[in-house]
Amino acid sequence: MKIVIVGCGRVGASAADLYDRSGHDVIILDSVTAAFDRLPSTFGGQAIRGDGTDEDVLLKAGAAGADVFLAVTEGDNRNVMAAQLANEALGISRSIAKINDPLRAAAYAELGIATLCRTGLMLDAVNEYLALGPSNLPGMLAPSGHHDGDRHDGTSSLTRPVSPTGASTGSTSATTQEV
Amino acid sequence: MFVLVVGGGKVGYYLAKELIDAGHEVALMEKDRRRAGQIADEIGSIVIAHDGCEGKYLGEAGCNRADVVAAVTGDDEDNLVICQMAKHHFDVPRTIARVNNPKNEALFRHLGVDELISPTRMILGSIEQDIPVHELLHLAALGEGELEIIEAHLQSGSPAIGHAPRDLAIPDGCSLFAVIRNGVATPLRPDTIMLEGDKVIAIGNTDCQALLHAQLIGEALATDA
Amino acid sequence: MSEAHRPVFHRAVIALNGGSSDARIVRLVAEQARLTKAELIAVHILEIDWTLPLDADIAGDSDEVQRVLDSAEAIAEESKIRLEPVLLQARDVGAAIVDETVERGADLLVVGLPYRKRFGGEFAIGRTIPYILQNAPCAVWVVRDPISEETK
Repeated sequence: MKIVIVGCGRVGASAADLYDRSGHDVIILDSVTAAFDRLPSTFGGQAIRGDGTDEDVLLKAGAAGADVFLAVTEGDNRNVMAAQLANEALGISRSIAKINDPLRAAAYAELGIATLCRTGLMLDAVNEYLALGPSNLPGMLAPSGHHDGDRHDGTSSLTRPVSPTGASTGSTSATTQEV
Repeated sequence: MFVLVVGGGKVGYYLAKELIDAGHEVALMEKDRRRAGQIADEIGSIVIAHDGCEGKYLGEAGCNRADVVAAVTGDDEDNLVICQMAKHHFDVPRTIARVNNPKNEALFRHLGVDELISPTRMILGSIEQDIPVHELLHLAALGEGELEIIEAHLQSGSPAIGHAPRDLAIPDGCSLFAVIRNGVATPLRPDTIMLEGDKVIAIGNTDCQALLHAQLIGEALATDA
Repeated sequence: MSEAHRPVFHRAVIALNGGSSDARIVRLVAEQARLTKAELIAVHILEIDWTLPLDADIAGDSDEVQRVLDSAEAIAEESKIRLEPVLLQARDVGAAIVDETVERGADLLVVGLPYRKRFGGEFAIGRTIPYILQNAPCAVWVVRDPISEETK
């Protein structure tokens, strides 16, 4: 599978390493180059500096056509926006956003993206260890609905041609770093 | 109307002030406590010192009874999420987002934000209007962006000079509806003769612009713009 | 107290909070007011959260609110002083008290302060009193409840 990960924190870097080692094609983005220090020297995927909420950056990074998109930066809203961009503009149907606010996590699952909320995940894990019942807080939620955008048939209505030179991206131009 | 403004920067501050002067009920959310305190000192008890991206605080701010939510923080992703939460979770009838990256406009619109304000786009538009160009000026996009309001400045060489709209081959899906002559705007009738220096305002879909360009600007001058 | 040191005021705003300090501050101010025939205005502010419009009918339905104002009036009457009860709905208590004081042209503002501890820790003065001390243009008396009353 081709897997795009936005955010090279502990979760992002671990996911990148894990999927890389199990033979998947991994592209990881972070707006700070130093974040890539978390990747092991054996990492064979691509690490790209750039803003994962910028459509041009994602396209230049080769995110189009990915099977999975995982947005795990520190900012809930950056993750939400990146995942929706991947879903709507790049046509990546399996887009997952980490959202730490339980209310937002539940709301966005209803809006058609998979959400991941650590509050519920952690409490469920603790409760399981203590043999207590589920927390009933959002944990990993599959999309339960579809937002009211006009795309219902799996094709992306937002996809549009982008100049092949990418000359207009200016300061957001992505640079590839060999790790 | 009850307007919930999220983001207490310059835009949010002046927006709240103007809305209050116009007699509306306004609540302003600003997560920075110091900034929130400053604004409250200046315009009164309308400030909620919490993050408007957080669902819980949006609820406490009365989002459920807001007629309009205006998300005007400096971050596009925050403005998107505020509007989406307002629209889908709190059923707010009208959401307005400030968009800094013009490239996000299509996505935001597609994701259900009702109105977009793009300072970048506006300044760009303004710069383009100040420069005399032998091109069509794109004044505003309507609907999903397929219709545009366009201005053509008739300069010597324009094939339209001395003719009325009914003499021209105006493409389908396009309408010439006003003319600005010596700073005065008047309706452009089918028999109005167009003069050099006129600014002709048209509305049309994006496909008909090449034809419109040929009719109003002319081919010869188009290349030296 | 000698006449020279007796505090003089002509119009005082008393901020009620519905707590035990209300009776104490009304009595205190009423006794002082007898000497100068000062006017008394007792203000009770209901803080309305943003989920409701400011003019929502909250106060009208509340017996408790009426009780707070009635008992202030009764205490003033004991000192043969007329007291005007005022009920306001506001988003922020401190700002509303200061606004009312300014609007009435009062030369004294009296507030009660219950003795509270925050999460069992330090004494907590809250937001309202510091706001009033910082913003009220006239003299301000803050009357703090005895510690024993609230901490028992």
